Amino acid sequence: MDERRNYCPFVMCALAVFMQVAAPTSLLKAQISTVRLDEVVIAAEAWQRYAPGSKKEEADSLTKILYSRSSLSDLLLQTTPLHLREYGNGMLSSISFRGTGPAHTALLWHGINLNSVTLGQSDFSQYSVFMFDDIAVQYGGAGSLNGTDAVGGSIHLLNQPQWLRGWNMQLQQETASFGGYFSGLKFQAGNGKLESKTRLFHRSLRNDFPYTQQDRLGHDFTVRQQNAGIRMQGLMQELAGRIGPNSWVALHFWHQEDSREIQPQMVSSPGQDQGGEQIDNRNSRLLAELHHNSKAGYLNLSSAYLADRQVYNLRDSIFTGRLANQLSFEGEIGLRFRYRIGAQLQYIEARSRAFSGLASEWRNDIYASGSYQFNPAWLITLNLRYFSAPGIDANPAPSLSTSYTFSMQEGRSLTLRALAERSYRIPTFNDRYWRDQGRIDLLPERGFSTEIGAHYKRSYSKSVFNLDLAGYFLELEDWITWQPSTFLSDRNGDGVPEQVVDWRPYNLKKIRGAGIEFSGSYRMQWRKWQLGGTALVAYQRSILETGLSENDPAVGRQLPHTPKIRYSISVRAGYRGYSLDVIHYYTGMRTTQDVFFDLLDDFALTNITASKSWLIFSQPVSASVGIRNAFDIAYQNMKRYAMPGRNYFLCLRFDLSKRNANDFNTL
Amino acid sequence: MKASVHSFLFALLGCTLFVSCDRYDNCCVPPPASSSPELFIVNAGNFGQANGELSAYDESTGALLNGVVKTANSGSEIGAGIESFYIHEKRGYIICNAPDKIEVLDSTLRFAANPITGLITPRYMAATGNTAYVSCWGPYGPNFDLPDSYVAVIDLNTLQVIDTVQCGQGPEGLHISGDNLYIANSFENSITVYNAQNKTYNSIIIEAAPQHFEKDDQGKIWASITGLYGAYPAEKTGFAVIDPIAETVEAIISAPGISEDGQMTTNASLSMIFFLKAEPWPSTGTSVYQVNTVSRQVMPEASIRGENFYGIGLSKATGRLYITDTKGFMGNGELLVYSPSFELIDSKITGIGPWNIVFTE
Repeated sequence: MDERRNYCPFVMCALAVFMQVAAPTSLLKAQISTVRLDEVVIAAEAWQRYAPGSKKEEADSLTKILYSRSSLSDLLLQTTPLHLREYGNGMLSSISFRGTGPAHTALLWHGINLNSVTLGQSDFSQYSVFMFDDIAVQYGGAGSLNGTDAVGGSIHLLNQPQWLRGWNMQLQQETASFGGYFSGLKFQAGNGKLESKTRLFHRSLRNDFPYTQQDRLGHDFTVRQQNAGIRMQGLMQELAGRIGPNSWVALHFWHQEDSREIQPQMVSSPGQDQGGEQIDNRNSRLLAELHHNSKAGYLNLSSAYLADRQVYNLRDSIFTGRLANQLSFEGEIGLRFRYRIGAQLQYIEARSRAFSGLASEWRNDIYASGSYQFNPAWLITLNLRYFSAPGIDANPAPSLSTSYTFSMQEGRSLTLRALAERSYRIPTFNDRYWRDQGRIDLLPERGFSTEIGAHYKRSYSKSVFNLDLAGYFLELEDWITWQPSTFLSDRNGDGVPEQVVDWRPYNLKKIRGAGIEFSGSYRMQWRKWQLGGTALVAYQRSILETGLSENDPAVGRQLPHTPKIRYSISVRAGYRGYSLDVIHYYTGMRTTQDVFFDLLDDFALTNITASKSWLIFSQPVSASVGIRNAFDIAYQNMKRYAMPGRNYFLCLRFDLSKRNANDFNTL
Repeated sequence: MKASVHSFLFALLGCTLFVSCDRYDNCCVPPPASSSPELFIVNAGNFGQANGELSAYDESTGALLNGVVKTANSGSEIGAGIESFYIHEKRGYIICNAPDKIEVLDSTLRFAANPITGLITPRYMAATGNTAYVSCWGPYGPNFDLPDSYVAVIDLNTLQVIDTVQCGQGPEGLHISGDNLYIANSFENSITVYNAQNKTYNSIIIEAAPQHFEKDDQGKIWASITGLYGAYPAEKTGFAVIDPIAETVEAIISAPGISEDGQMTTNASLSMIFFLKAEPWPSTGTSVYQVNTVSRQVMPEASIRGENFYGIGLSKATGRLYITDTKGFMGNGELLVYSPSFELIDSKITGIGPWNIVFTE
């Protein structure tokens, strides 16, 4: 392992020398003569500019329309090779990115980590695709750019002003099987200098789908799922304004509430009582941003407050509040070197009985990035982040990333990329402050990953073809695990510590993973037909290297709930306003916590959507009907949590707009 | 253009081949079934995951079979976490939580038509004749206390709850001695003695939390008493020796560090009790100790040392000591087999969270 680490700089240096020699000088001159601008204009996010070696995918506009009524969980599960662990239909959905755990993916909204500070993870079923303009997946460790939790990968949620002149409105209404309803409204208006975007949605699901189960005597019986209803609604209001020729400010307010009955596990016999637990979330987020471009560089200042409250069974509540301030500056030195420096300062507090009232702490990050454009084809970046928290000294998280693009001829390119990265995860508030069991002396989990990849793109006048292949190696150590132990604590409150036995967190486990990811897409226009297809495949091994004890039998085995193979194939055909989308996705076999004797079946599901669009008074209207789980497959993502069989939906969408004739901005 | 279409189709074909190769090599083939297991291991399962199961170990062949209930019932699972397992008159009773029920097994481990339901957090069972008693925690109170704990009385002919017995908070282990039922109230420092004949109650107060009972060679009842996670001082923990005639505590045997669950077992002559200790902080070790029921002295040295020991059982037939290692309840555990001279002679991987060991004797 140490040897492998030591090879990485050597390989990168060798690659660097090769690329420098191979770079065509004429192209470099051309780059220098055309790229220089009077002011530094930033068109992409830092994670896009300073991670050329990592694989990235963004949901395209058609996919976002297709999934606009869906949760982020559904979008990722069906259109990426990521695995999500669904504890029922529409229930808790935690992510497993490149074989890591649910707390090893950073979910970022404008760069702010949304993962729960108490649990360290996100429930991806809580987020509605409808609320975001852009959703992107960044594969691999990115601690130096995205901060804590970005070990397996990062999910970016973004809403940016489009400086619209005029207004547009979108209304969506869906009705679906098992009492499913979705209503959504988007309204956007602006004059090119001031813009307002409003999003509102409401979603409810009775979730009383039938499922067939075998009773203890081996007889099939069918029951209806009970106590699994969902109700959620959200509002996002965004205001953006230009305050000068090179500056703009934005204010984002996002409030969301959801109330869910926790889907109980499958019953063992007819008539058995089915659950009755409930969880309620209320999340409010306020973000203010300042962006300023000048000849000196690009300045970004943001301040956000996130308030999250969760109540279990209308009784036990936990509240967390986060104030996150971030300042970054980006500039250029000479023609080839671009840099970014910044700092993030966070104050976090949590209130719960478990924290004996209030727990709070400051977390500080400083970071710097530099990218060097050796020539138009070759970019290399170095990122460094220092993070600290109470009990955690400043730790470095560096990354080295590069890409090289061969532009072979018109419309054809091949990009090679490589990345070496150290990532980390700061212990959660539960890990650090839970009653007398939390431990402030826990170490951050440490990840190390390397990745190489290639992307081939071929464009024709009426078609585009993409192929991407990535291979990675990932190591994560000091994985925090709770287990029963003996320790001293003054639980009696008499000032004399007693020996007690209870669960405590420890830096114990270490995993090693490797995998291959392939994606290919093809889109073409043929007469009045629009045709396209996408295929995604991931093969991943995620092996427990060090277990909970010296003789842990799970050592050397694939982690539980982690399939080795996932794939998704989608096909899309459009003709004169009609369209048909078919998505087929597969999740391979995986074990439960019992990695020796308990194996969950693999499953492949197919969703079919047919749509028709019209123009009524020059305004587009569309209707969609769809079948989910078209072949009525009985499956469980997580053991004993039933999932629905074949089910249907009908959706209507109205788009109204009035735009200034001179405005060519994208709606 | 044509070439790229071919490339794409080739890639799709590649995906198909890739996927068709998926054969999960993570699960091993279960070991051969034991024809006459001498002991069962209760795998509690993960909290809330309903994946409790039994493992069976054959002392003569050394074979351990996991998932024996699922196997015996053609793939149907218990579908719950397991708190304990009790064998009485050729039937097995699996006391389950989440959902709360008792699954009744015949001698071939096949399920009875219906489980016993209507219990709230059932824990342990004791039976005599056609009557069984099941300790039940009842619903949690507002401060996570257990004010409505009870013991359910079950008719084993009808498998119905026919009555309840009052007790203190958090009843755990049960012991039947004549007409008396001893109930260890583990959330407080008392033992309830219920006379089933006269329907009368007596309460024995001690200075720590009682957990389980064993009978010694002189007919005395030994209750393991623990610290209730720090609520009682360590020097008060160990064993309470109860005179079943006077229904009073005859002696307290101090055993600081006794495991919180108070698991214990006796040898064939009932002259020695084996129990588990958690070693003093900062060690995370656990160890097996012995207490002589005649001299009432705890052996100064541990017989066996290890990590995460949870359950303990001694074969009266072979004198072998069996210990379960839960591996922190995070995954598969392990059954450790020790010779009468405490040499490790076998180990087997079990299901999730192995804790109680139940002999078929």
